[in-house]
Amino acid sequence: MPAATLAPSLARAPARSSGWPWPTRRFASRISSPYAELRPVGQGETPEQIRVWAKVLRIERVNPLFPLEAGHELAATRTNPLDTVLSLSREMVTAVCQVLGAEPLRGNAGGRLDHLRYPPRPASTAYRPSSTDIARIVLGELGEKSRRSLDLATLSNRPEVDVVVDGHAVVTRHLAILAMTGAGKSWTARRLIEQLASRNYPIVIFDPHGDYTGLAEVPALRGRVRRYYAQFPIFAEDADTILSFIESLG
Amino acid sequence: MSDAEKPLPERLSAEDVRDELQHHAHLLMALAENALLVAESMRDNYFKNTAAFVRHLRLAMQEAEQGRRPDTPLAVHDVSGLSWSEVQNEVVTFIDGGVGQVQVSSRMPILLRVGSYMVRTGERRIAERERFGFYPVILGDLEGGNKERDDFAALVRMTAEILGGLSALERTPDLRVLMFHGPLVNLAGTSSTTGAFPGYAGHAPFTERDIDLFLRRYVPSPDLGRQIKEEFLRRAYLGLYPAMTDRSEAWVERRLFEPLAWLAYLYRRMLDVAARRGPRPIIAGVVERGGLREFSERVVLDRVYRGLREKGHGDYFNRLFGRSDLTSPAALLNRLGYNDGLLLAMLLRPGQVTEPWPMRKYDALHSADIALPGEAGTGRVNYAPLRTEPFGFPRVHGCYVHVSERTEPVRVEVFPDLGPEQAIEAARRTYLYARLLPGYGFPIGLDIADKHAHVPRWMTDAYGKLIRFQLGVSLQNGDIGDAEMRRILVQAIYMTNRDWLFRPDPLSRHAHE
Repeated sequence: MPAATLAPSLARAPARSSGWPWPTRRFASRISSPYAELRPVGQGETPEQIRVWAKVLRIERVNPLFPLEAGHELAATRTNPLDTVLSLSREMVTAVCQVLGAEPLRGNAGGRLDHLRYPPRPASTAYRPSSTDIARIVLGELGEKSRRSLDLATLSNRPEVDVVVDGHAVVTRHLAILAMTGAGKSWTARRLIEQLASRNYPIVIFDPHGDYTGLAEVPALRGRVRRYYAQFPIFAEDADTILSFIESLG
Repeated sequence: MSDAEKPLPERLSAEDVRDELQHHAHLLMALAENALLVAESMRDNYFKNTAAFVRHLRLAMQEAEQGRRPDTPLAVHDVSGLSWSEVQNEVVTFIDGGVGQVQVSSRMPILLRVGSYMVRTGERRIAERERFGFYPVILGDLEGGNKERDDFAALVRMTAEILGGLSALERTPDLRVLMFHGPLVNLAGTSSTTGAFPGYAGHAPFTERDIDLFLRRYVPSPDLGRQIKEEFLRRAYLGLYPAMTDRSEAWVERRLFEPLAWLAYLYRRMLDVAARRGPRPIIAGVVERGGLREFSERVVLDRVYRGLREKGHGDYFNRLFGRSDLTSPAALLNRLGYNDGLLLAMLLRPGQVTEPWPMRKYDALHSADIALPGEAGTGRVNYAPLRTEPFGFPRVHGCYVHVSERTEPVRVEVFPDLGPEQAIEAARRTYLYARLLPGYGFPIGLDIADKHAHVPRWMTDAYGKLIRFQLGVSLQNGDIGDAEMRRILVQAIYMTNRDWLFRPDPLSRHAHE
């Protein structure tokens, strides 16, 4: 088994954090979960087994026994490495992971991750988590409070794992959706609106760009969306005035 | 076109030689360091005079090559012609040993590691192509040897390396090349400059349990291990031990293995196994940055001095350097700080190898007083029988191969008893293997064996944390009662973050003692 088997999952702040999860439509970050054992101080006490969750930050394919310099020489002399005494069997894939936290291996912490207080054993095996495990971490306590959860998306590589956010937090606190261009901010906002509307929340949308006019066409919202348009009185002016006005707008 | 065949810029004018020396960083650095260390009277013209000396040597070598003079200060051969296509389907094993890194600081090494890397050139099936071995030796497990001495680790390392080589020979019937990292024979206490023994102080013999620890890791079967032990003890009883000690009966009765005698036996056995093979495997040790000056003193400069005297120029060096005491090769090397690596880097071209010379590795094997395991009193042991046949160490020849202009030549050591072709064949392969690492100038297979045996820093760091955690638990539980041990452990565990707490107190009573 490779040193770090990787699994697609959701990148999010530890569930214990009070911060708002980062909502985007698709997630490419990953989580892996090597197991570890905490041995309490003292004799006769049962070790606590935990599952460590980590996010893969960087993946590299390396052969530590193959110097770069040798590669240059092979290329310069057009030599097949198999004809030489170079080692080619130790190529490996390594990953740099950021530990997110730990949860008990048995029992249920409700998806909550605790801070890891002790490093995992060196060179221990990493596992590809199941969708059920990932869903538990992604959903957190929302898994048991489905009435509060707003269904936003599924994971890019695990369509069976839903991504939800806490609707209670959305409507009782402030919300900002921040992401890079093209990451899916408008899409996320639209899904939030749909989900809240389906729960009969009154929603007022200021939509200067017309991004949300299509909500009226959503079957579940048909007949429930009212559009209000701003009215701009236009006075009769000559063409030159209108042109100079338009040009002044930049 | 090989490196050695390339037309070189004119290397024989004084300016060209000076320019060439200045353009090679490793040469310039070595000469600059030397210039600071030599006597003040030689400092000013050190570089210029060195260039003049090198120029004269090169002239003499060139004239000899062209048949214009009968003698040469240094005979060289070209080994750059070997190509990979000529060495296909060769099984090569590289052996490297070293001191293992541990996180607990200690003056004495705790762990030795020997790594091996076997590869068959041209083999396309990766699984069949390579095999790695890793053999750690914990020094504390051994009952014999004087562990408090620095040369103990070197002795154990050499024993483990030779056993690794012997194991490779036994396990691989078609082994073509067996290459060690370091001197082929490196007896504990050997001088790094002259290569001679300054005086071996002796070590307590290994017990049979020690030998079992060694053999368990290397020998393919327990039967072969038993056979090796019995054969050694029989040979020791019949001839060697009586020549070494007047307590030979007790040594054999207690089944003791005198470390050097055991090591010499392993060498002999390795040569016996290799000599029965056809073709005979090439067995070589490759040394980088050796610092040795034996070849310069006993071969190159000896011929130079003799030639100068014959021509009536016996005071050449004194005139060149403005002194009166440069009357012998040894004096010249002492005063000017040259060694084999430096001198030959200035004389050889990449792809050239020097003629082999018989190395003097055992001249200073004399006698020492040692104590047997479990005994307080010491007895005299004579090591002279280990110098030669039939029980002693095998003869070793050395030569220097210049791989790259960026590095010093490496020394290749071989056993001439395996055939006269050993030196040149080992040199050809050393050059071929090292050309893949021109910046290092060292056979890449030895670099691979070293890297494989080396435990990465991230792992030793992680295990260091684990060790400190367990020690901390033991301290908390009160499992460690000894006050001195507690003090050491507290330092080992917490010193990294609170080292200022452990500064020596200048006012304490101990500080004034």
